[in-house]
Amino acid sequence: MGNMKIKAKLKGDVVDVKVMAKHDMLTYDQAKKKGVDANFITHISAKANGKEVYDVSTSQFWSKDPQFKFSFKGAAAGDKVEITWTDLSGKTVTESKKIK
Amino acid sequence: MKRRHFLVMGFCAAPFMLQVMAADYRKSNPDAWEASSIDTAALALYGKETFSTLQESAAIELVVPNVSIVDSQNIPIVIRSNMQARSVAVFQDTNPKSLVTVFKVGKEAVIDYEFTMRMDIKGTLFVVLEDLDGKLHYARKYVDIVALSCMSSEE
Repeated sequence: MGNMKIKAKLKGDVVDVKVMAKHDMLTYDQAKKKGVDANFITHISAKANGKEVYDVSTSQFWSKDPQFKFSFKGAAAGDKVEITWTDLSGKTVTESKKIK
Repeated sequence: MKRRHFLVMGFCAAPFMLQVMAADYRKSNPDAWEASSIDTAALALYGKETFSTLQESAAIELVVPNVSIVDSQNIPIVIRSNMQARSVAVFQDTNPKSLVTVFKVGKEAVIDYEFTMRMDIKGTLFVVLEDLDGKLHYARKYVDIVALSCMSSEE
């Protein structure tokens, strides 16, 4: 836990979600200099009420500790938004937040 | 003579159709992520026929910083559109690989995306939206990055 900072707020009929994911996002060049394997988040998805509301395939060109924002419809205050990321090493992290 | 009887095998495809629902573009289009030019990456992502429909569109809003960027590791990018879409992809022409990210646009999604990215040097960012008819639309913006090594000579 504590890998992601999530804020989810309902404005009208749209939920705005802001996320900061803690990850080194080590590029192939940076990894080569350090003598380690590259590792960065490759996929992020979000679900609310069992429906997929965000799905993005990512690359080494997202920033370290990437911050991202997205919006979706079809949820109410009190519902939960669940966010999952997977990185190149296969590690998966899922965290959720109640919509305010 | 005996007649041959043929089995109908179509129902066997059903489990594989369900797998298509989850979209990880890195798994479904691995070549697109290895391409070092925008054209090659886009061709690998969309295919020749879809790529030929590409046209510039004012219906895509791409917001990048107007000023020269000092922190090239944290460039804020905003993408907005009211168009109905299947996907939104971001390409750039400076990093070693061109494809930065691909958003799958679901039914509940609003095309109002923000994220932070890095670019090695100044260059052009392209956003390509694939509409529900499979046609491509794009917007582009130049991203200016300050070369810090030159700053010390100013005064």
